[in-house]
Amino acid sequence: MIKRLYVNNFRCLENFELSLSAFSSSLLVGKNGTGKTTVGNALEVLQLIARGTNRVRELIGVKDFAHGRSEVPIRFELEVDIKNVSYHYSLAFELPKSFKELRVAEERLFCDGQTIFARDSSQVTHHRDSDSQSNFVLDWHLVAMPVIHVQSEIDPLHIFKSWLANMLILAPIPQLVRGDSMGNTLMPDKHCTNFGEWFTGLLSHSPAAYGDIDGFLKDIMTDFKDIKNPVIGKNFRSLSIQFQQETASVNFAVEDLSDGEKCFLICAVVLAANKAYGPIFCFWDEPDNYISLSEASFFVTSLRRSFATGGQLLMTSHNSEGIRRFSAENTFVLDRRSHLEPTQVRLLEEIPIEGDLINALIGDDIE
Amino acid sequence: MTLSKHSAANDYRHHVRVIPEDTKDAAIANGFLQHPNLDLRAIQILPPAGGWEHARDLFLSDHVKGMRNKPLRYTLLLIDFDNNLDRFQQISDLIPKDIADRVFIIGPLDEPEGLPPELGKPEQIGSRLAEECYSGSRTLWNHDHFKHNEAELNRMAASLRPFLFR
Repeated sequence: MIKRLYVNNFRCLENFELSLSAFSSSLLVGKNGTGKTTVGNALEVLQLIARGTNRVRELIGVKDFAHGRSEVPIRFELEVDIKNVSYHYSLAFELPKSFKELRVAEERLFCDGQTIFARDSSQVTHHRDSDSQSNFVLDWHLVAMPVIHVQSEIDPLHIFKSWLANMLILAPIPQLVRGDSMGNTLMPDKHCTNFGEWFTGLLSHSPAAYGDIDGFLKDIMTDFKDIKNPVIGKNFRSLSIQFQQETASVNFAVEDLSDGEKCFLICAVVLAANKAYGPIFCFWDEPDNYISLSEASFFVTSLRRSFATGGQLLMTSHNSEGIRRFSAENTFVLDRRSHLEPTQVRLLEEIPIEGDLINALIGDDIE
Repeated sequence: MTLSKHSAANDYRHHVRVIPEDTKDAAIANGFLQHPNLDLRAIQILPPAGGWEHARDLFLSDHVKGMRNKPLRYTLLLIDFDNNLDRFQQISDLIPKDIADRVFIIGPLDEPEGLPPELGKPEQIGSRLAEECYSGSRTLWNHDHFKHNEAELNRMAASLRPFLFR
């Protein structure tokens, strides 16, 4: 569970802090351009590092400095709790004068207050255990976490890195969702273009997950029958969805489903993944974007309920039904006076609003 | 019988629509929805009405006909009693007799803002109330702020409980 995310000088996030320790699920609302998606972008930088991207220029660029303010480092801090153990990761990027590419200024990982590794510029100190440490020099254009050797599955670095890599940062583009797969993964990309691989990976990891996928899809589409994922070539599979009513049935490739139906599939796999290899953290940018008003409540509540028993959900929404399935106690309002000013975040229960939130959002009446 | 492709809380199964008086009551309802055994297809939370009188008027203007046409539909008005339990009778006297057995009126004695902090935030209260509905216990329901709902709760246990929880 993420307890705290701190971001400074990254796009519209300046001295931005999000405390999530009290929430198994929470919602970000706000006008366009207030920074909701940027919160996901910040988390994605950290996720990509854990998934092995260590070249700084592949993670962040000069354009990411808030208002081009390159004399101030871009800083990310993440505090998480994994099985009652506290981890604190911090990372700062800087752009010295006359440099064209950002470099790592500082990087640290603590586990229950103990330093796992610490890095200042190119000097890295890795505390392998309480008695031994190693020091080495690393190119300052590389992030250290992916290159430090983990010693075992109980190594705190391995535990934190795996948790971070398994985070789901989702902003699916239904038109790009593909059901074909050449392999398998437990790490879908942001736009779910590798959905087929993720589905295959999930069922390889945990075949029982199919029951959860099936149950959700039958709840939301009464004529859903099953999903097939046959091998149709060398190392090549292709998902097809079968619907049945009475004696008639029809098959669709994932690509031929509607945008909303693809989101149902993604939701089903998110719910099953959280159970199968979670608890996981999931940031989902507008999960209800393609969902009809009559289904949005069921869709969002299913997500919230799944994460109430493990894992953590942070989502954004502009959908009235999706927004209404959260409450003042777990809804964050993001606001920004202009493109020249930073994002401000407040919990809705701290904001005096007369009447209904949706009406206040429509009328732009949140002060 | 033809089923719609995507079944919402629909015409062909028992379902209950909840009309919350305001956003605080809607938050209690949201907490109720978090119960893991609740059949989410059997319940639908409608937008906050904006006051108990609006909830009453909305029900009478928009929902009576629908309930007559859909015999498996139930409606629950989730209101604040504002320390005035006569409000129950003021509303129930207006409910048409032919659907009265499918309409319920419940809510906290005071506004949710007036509930003691030790009861938790509205969603936590809703979650606890749902768990007690599921298990049949009555600890929070017997609290000073909720015990006036006993008769309605008994009716709900008989008619809603069988289809609300899996």
